[in-house]
Amino acid sequence: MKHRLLVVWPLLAFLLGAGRAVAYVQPAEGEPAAAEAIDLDAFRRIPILVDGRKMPMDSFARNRLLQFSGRRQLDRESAVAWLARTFFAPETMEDVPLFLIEDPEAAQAIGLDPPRRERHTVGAIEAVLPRLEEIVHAAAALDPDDRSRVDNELLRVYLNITEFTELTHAFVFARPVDEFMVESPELRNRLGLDPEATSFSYLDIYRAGAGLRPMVQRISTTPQSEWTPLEEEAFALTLTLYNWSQFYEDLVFRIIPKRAGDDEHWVSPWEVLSGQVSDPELLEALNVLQTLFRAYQQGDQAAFDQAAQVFRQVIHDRLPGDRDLKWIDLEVRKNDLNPFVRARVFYVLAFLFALGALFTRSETEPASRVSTVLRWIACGLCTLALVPHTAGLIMRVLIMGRPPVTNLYGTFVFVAWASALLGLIAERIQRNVMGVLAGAFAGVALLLISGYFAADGDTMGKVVAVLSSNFWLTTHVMVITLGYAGCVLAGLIGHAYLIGACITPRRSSLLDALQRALYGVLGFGWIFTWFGTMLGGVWADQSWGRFWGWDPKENGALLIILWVAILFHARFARMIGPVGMAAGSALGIIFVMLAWLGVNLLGVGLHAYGFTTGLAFALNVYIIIQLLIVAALTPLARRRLARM
Amino acid sequence: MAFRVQFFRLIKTLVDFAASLKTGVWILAAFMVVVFFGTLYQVDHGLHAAQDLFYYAWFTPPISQWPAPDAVSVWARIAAWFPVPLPGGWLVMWALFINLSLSMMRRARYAWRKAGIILAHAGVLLMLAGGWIAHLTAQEGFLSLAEGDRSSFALAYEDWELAIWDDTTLPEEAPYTFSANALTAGKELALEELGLVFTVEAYYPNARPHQESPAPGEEPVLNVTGITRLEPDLRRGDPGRYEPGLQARAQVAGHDPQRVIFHASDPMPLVLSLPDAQWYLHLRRRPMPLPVTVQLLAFRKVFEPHTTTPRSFSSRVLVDTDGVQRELVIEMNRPFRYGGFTFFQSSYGETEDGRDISIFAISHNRVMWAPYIATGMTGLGMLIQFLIQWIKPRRKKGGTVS
Repeated sequence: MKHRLLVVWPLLAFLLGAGRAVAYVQPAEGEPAAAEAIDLDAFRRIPILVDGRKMPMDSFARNRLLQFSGRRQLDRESAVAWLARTFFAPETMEDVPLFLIEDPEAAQAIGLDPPRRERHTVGAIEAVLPRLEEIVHAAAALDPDDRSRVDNELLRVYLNITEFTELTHAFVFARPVDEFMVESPELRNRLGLDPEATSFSYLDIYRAGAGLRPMVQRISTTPQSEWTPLEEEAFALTLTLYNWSQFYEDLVFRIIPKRAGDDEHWVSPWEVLSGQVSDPELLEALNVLQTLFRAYQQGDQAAFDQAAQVFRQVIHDRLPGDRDLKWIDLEVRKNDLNPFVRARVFYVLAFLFALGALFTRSETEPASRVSTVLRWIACGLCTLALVPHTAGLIMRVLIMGRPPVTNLYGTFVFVAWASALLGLIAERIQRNVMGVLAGAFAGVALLLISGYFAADGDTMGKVVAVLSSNFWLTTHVMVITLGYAGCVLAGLIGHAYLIGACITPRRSSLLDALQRALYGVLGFGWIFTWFGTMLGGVWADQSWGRFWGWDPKENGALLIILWVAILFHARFARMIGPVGMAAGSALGIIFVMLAWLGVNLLGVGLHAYGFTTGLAFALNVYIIIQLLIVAALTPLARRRLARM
Repeated sequence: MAFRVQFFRLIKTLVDFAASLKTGVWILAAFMVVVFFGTLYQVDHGLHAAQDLFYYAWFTPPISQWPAPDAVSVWARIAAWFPVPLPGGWLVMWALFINLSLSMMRRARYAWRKAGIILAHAGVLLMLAGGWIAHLTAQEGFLSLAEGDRSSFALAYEDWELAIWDDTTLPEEAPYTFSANALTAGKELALEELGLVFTVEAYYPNARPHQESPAPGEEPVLNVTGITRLEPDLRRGDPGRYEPGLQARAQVAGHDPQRVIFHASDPMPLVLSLPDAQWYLHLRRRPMPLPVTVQLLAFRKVFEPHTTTPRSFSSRVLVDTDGVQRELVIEMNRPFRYGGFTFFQSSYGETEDGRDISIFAISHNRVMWAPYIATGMTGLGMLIQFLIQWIKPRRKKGGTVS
């Protein structure tokens, strides 16, 4: 985020200086209204480069809308429809509740008075912009550590406003405006402009530059009093053209790729129009974008689709053989499918059916028919959940060209998958509902947590150089996250054992089966955490020259290994019994969470890549609740079992 | 006789205690405490301070005696009710080593069905022993090369020395070197050939230099940049970034003694003109002779388009091994190894004239194989034991799933 701020501040300063934070270029009078319901399928498949990654316009729209409003779609409008409106009809955005201000105090500070976190319309923000700018200027001058919570929130909101403003100006070069009005038919004729129109776009006039040049040359050597009305109009046009090029030259919305050797570079329309990049093909690409703009404005579906297709082809032609471009359509498909949300639904259903199976089990063996049926349904639903879950993971692998564990979001999604799969395997062996119950619970809980990290925006961003190794990502990260999955699942089985011992202490066969499952799954988790940690050491040795550096992330994994080692050795030494083993496994989840998230919250070390503020509170609450649960269940379970 | 019996009984009791599984559990618990507190300590004090206080220490002082962080610390608040010292990393790791060794000698049953357990524990022993040896013997340094430059010496990361050489020798081959560890106050360094005696007044591993006008009558100080006083910098941090300083009194035969100061920031050596030759004196990082000569041909850094996210750093180098030259690429996750030395792509920079500089981290570790083998042994052992444990109950049930 810090890097992002560094990059955006100069632009921010420019925009502040120019005083056009949310002021749109007004369309020419009589310009057709924005299209009511144009199909955007072709548009959303156009690739765009964002933060170093090529993604479809659809993903860009979703991520930006999430960033601005905290949602992936507006009330009745998809993210891509919102983006298209922002590009092609920004004047219609006035009443859109777009900017989320999380902190009511921050809203109050700029003169808005909501009782809670709320999304504010573009118009409302525009009204309080001077006050906002005043606070932001003051906050920006402070050392980041000295900024208040309100300062930080308003800075975030202001950066969003700035970025939104950039988006509204992205296609300004294609928009006919009154500033480029050519009233004289003769001048229109000389410049080769549409004889029927009077207002033109920057691009129209830019293209007509050849026609303007002789007139401007004559003007430069002639006193103003001798200028003809035609020359005066030509002069005004030239002056506006120049002013616009100066005004917008820093507006960087890079949308057209340009490759020079191995170096890939994307250019903005203004880099082309201001002559910073000279390439006739790029000008052709701008013509296509203008066609796209006009087709949207006129509601011409066929022309819009064709322009989008042509522009997409332009990008493909300019980056032949690019691997990322191959998977653009797949990413759109993944966005549509939303596989992890679907999986979540199935996991919830599987969990509910498993609970039903558990409660309908009779005290005596064998299990009742109803319970058996419910167990089978739960297993079926959990298997069904794994279908979209697996598909989603495969899609991520294909799109990123990397194993699915490049960031915290990815690790949660992967561990959810592994936990559910392990639960099903345990269920296949034990057949006592507990495997599917724990697996489905882990699946839904971890996918829900992953949603927290998805709120940051793009979940498939590029990795830094030292992580750029598919071999090590596959071996170290995947193995250690499988270890996490085993330990988490063992912890859940531990909970199930404690609850089972409290509720049905007579069911010794069930408790024994749970204990055996716990050993198996915990052993699996231990082995994989060990291998994963040591493979991390090997990776560190290969990359940094030391096997072990006491980095917080390494220490976190070591804590898990030591904790599980203590449990097994204490059990063999008869220092703890089955209840102690179950309680210890349940507490083991705390160490997994500390290793997984806690060390990232510390913000130190080489692994602090997933630094997340706001998560610390949730983690602390979880730890306290977990300790209370174990503290409450353990003595009770021990007493109930002792009475048997 | 009774005494001998009692003595051997006591020894046996002690050995049984040291080898017991329960003792092992408590040692593992102590290890967790060290790791947990050491990790938290890093937040305020950094990794190196945590290493000194926790991991590479026999005992960690009571929390109440820990150096306070800048802000009001949570430690200070809980220190009042936690006044006992904690075991240090060395203590728990050695205790674990002894516990494991003794238990393997006294309690382990060497049978095939215990093969997994024995292998896993032997792997842990190797890991601990390898870690200890590596800590004592491994050297770390760096090699900074601009494009076109070559060198057969790296610079030690943490070790400094006072080096003295004359016109006829190369700086790296200085005939007189004194390790910083030997520069204690009052120590005399006699260079009889030169008729020069240094008496160390103070050596600071991390020192802040001051340039002040001398007060009237004050003894002048000799330094290449005009440093007149050193002040110890007690802040803890990465020792590789420390800037040591040495204050000494130099006595050349036939001349009055003179106070001299050396500091890490001195850009050039101090020149001592003697009748026979010019001698150069410099406080510098200890050069590490390399088994090869490395020339940087080209450095390349690639970023993701329009981001500050690095995609790759790589250096094309020419390596000369006893006259045999070969060209190779060193990059992230692809080091070059030779003769116990490993060269890693670490960082980069730029010279004043715009040439790229590539910085390699150099590691010399004779037991670098130990963690690899130990990892394999322990992992394999755990896996074997897991499978034995898993298969056993299934066999009991006659192959059916329980």
